[in-house]
Amino acid sequence: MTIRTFRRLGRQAGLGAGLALALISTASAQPKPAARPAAARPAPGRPAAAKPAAPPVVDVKAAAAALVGRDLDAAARAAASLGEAVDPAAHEALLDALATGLHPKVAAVALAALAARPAAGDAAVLRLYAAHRAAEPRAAAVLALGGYDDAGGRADIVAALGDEDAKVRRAAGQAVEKAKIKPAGERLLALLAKGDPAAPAPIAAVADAELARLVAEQLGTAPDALLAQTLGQILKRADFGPEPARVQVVRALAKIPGPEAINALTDYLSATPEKPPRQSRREAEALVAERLGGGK
Amino acid sequence: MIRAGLRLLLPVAVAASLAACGGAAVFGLTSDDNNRDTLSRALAMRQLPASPAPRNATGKPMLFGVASGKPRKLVAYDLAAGAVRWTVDADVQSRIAVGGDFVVAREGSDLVARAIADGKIRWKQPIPGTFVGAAADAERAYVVYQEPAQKRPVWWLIAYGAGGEELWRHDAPGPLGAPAAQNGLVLSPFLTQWLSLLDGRTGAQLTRIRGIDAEIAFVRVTSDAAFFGSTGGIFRLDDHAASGRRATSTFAAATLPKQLARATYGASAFDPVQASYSAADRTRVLWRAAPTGDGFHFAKDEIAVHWFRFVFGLSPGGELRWAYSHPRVELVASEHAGSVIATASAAGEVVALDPATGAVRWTGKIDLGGGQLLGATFDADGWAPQGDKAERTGTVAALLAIARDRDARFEPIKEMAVSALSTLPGPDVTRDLLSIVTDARTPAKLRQTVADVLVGRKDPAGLPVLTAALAVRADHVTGAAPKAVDVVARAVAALDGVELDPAARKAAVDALVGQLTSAATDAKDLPAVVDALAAIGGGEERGPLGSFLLLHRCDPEVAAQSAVIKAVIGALVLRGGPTERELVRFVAEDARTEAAVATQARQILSQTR
Repeated sequence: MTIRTFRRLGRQAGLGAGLALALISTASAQPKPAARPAAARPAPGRPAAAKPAAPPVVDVKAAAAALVGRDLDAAARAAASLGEAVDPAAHEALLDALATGLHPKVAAVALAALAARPAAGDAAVLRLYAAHRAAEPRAAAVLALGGYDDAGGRADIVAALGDEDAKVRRAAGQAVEKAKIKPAGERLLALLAKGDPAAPAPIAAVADAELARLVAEQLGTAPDALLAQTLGQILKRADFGPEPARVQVVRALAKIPGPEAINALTDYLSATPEKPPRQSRREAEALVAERLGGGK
Repeated sequence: MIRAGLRLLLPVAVAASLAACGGAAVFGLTSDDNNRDTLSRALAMRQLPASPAPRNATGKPMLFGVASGKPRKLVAYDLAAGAVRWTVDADVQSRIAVGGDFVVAREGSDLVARAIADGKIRWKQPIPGTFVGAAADAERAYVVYQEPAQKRPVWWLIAYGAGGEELWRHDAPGPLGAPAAQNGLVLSPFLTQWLSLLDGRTGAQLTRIRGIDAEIAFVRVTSDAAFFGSTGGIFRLDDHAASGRRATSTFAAATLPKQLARATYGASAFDPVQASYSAADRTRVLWRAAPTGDGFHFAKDEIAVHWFRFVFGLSPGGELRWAYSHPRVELVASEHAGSVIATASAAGEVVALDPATGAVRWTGKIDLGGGQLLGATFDADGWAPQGDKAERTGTVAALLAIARDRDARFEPIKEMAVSALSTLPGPDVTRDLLSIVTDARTPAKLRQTVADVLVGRKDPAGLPVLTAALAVRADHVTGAAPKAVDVVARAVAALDGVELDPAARKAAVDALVGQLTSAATDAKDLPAVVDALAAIGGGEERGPLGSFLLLHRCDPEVAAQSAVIKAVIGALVLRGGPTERELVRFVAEDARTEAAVATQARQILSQTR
C-alpha cells in the first residue's frame, strides 16, 4: 500500500462514526462553503481600491512534504503557505495531512489554512478536529466551521460555546458572529450571565429585538461592564431595529451604572448621524449629558 | 477456637475454687447433672398451650415499654387494639418481665410488681445488691441479685408470691444469670455452664443441665418452648438436652453474614448491661423453632436479624431473602412472635413484619408523651394482626435506603445491602445503584463496592440507564457534567457477549462515542469507554476509534496516556478487520506518530500476528 492509499484510508477512518457514511451519501450534496464576500465595488465618485495582490507562488509539493515532516515549525509554516495557494492540490495536501493526523500546533495552523479557501468535504474533517482533545486545534476547527454552511458544523459551534476551555468558547463566539447563528442566542445569554467575555460580540451579531430585550433583562445578573458592552455593540449595528427596539436598548443602557454604559452611549452618538432625527439618539444624548453633567 | 476453649474452661476453674469453699445446697458442683429422666419429669410439669399465645392473663398481645423522661414512664400498649392501656410514672431500670396479671421490673432499688390491668403497684421488695435479672410466671416473680461482697460474693435467687411475700431463696457462690420462668419452672443459668431447673413453687432443684461443649449464656422462653445457648448456637430444652453436647442435643446454629455476625440469639443472662434494655437489643437474631419433634428446625426455615434500624430476613444459611429499613429512628425492641416479627422504634412506632417476606403487616404508634422508647418487652406470642396491611415497601427500596444511609456505623451493612442488590435484576436497581455511585456524599469504600456491583450485574435491562448516564455531555453553559463515566463504561463493557436490544445497543454506542469525542472526558475514563465500545460496538466502533487514533497519534499529551492508546489500538487490532490492522500498521510506521504511540502499535501488532 502506498502512502496515498493510507491517506485515503486515514480519511476514511477519520471520517468514520457516521461521517464516512455521510460523505458517501452526500457525495452529490456536499456541505457548501459559506459564500465568499464579493469583491467590493468602489462607490461612485470614489477612487477604485488598489488591485488585490497576486497570491504568492507556493511550491505545493515541497510544502506538502514539509507539512508532514518532523520539523513542527516548518510544518506550521508549510500549512500557512498551503492556505495561501490557489492550487487545489494545496488544499488537498492540507486535507490529507489533517485526515491522517498532525501535531496539535501544526493542526491548528492547517485548519485555519484549510478554511481560508473553503471547499466541499472540509467540514467533515473540521468537525472531527472540533472534538480534538487539545484546545488549540479544537478552537481553530470551531472557528473555521463558521465559514461553512454546514448544519452539523453549526451545531458543533453552538455546542462549543459550552467548552471547558475559554479559548474554544471564544472561537465559538467568533464563529457564531461570523456565521450569524441565531439559535446560539440562548446559550450566549447564559454565557453572558456567567460573565464570559466570549459572549458580547456574538450576541450583538445575532441579536434581534427580542434577544436584545432578553439581554437587557440580564441587568443585575450579568456583570455591568459586559452587559453595557453587549448592548453597546447591538446599538452599533446599522441593521438592528426597528427604532423602538433601539430606544429600549438605550434605556436599558441608562439603567447600567459605571463608565461602560456611558462609553457605549457615546459610541452610539458618534456612530449615528443627527439626521434624520432618531428618538434613540435623542435619549442617548440626554442620558450622556445627564451622566456627564452630574444630572443637570 | 482457643478463645472459645478458654471461655469454657474459665467457669470450670471458678467452680473448682468454689468446690474448695464447700459450695451450696442447690447451686454447687455436686449435683446429678444431665439426667435424662429427671429432665423429662421436670419438663413434663409445664402446662404449655396448644398454640402460641401471650402469657399475660388478659390473653391480649401486649407491649410493655419504658419511655424516657423524669421520671421515666412504664407504658402498657395493647397490640390488638393499637391503643395504650395505661402509662404510669415508674423509674424502671431493668427489662420488664411479664407474669399472669402483673409485670415486674426493677424500679430504683426495688423489685416492683404492677397490675397488668392498670399499672398500679401490687407490691415491692428491696433489692439489697446488684440486680442481675428478673422473671415471672403466672403467679410468681423471681429475682437474681448479687450481694455486696464482704468476704466472698454471693448471688441470690428469690421467689415472691402474688402478694410479694418471699416464697423461697437460694444462694450461689458463683455468678447466677438472669433467670427465666415458664409455667412453674424456673430456669436458672449458673456460671455459664449449668442450667438449673427449679420448681417455682418450692424452689427445689428438679434437675440440672451441664453444658459440656457449649456455654449457657442465654435462656429464652416462648409460650410453647424453651431454649438456651450462647452465640455458638441454640439448644432446645427437651429430653435430648440432658446430653449436654451439641451433637446429641436438639441444637442448631444459623450462619449469619459476616456483617451481622455480632447479632445474638438472646439477651445475655450474665451481662449486667443487658439486665436492662440496651444497644444489645438492637442486634438480635429473631427466630422461632418447633417446640417438639426431631431435630432443631427454624420455623419455616427462616430467621431474621434486627440490626438497629433494619431487619433482614435470612435463610438459616445466611442467604438474604428480604430487608426492612425503618425510617429515621432506630428499632429498640424486637421479637419473633410466630406469625409476625414485632418491632418497636425509639419514636414509639410499632411495626409487625411478615417473617417470610418482610412486608409490613401492621403499624401502630405509642403515645410516649414526648419521651423516647428506651426498650420494651413484647408478650405477643401468636399475635396475628387484624386487617393485615401486607404493605410491601420492597426489598430493593429497603436495601437502597440502607446503602444510602448516612450513619457511619452501618458501613459493613451498607456493603452487604449493595451485594444483595447485585443479585436483583432490572433498570430500577441499576438506576439506584448508579445514583449511589454518583452521589458525592457516598463514602469512598461504599462507592467502590457499589461500582463493583454495578459492573458485576451484567443486566441488559439496565443498559438504557447506563446509556442515559453516558449521554450527558460536559457543558460549561449548563453546568452539566457526566458522572462516574469510568464505572458506567465498565458496566457497559461487562455486557460483552450478552444479547442486547438493538436499539438500546445503538444508543449506548452513540453515547460512548460522545464520551470518546468529548475533550472534557477525563483521560483516565477513556480506556473504559474504549473497552465498552469494543465490547458492544459490533463493528460500529471501528470508525470512531480509527478517527481518534489518527487525530491524536501526533499529540504528545494523548501519547502520554498509554492506557488510552493501548485500549484504542488493542480494540482496533483485536476486534477490527484487515483495514484496522493496516491503519494501526500505518500509525506504527509513520514518522509523525509520537514514539510512545508507535511503540504501542508495534507491540500489539507483533503480539497478534
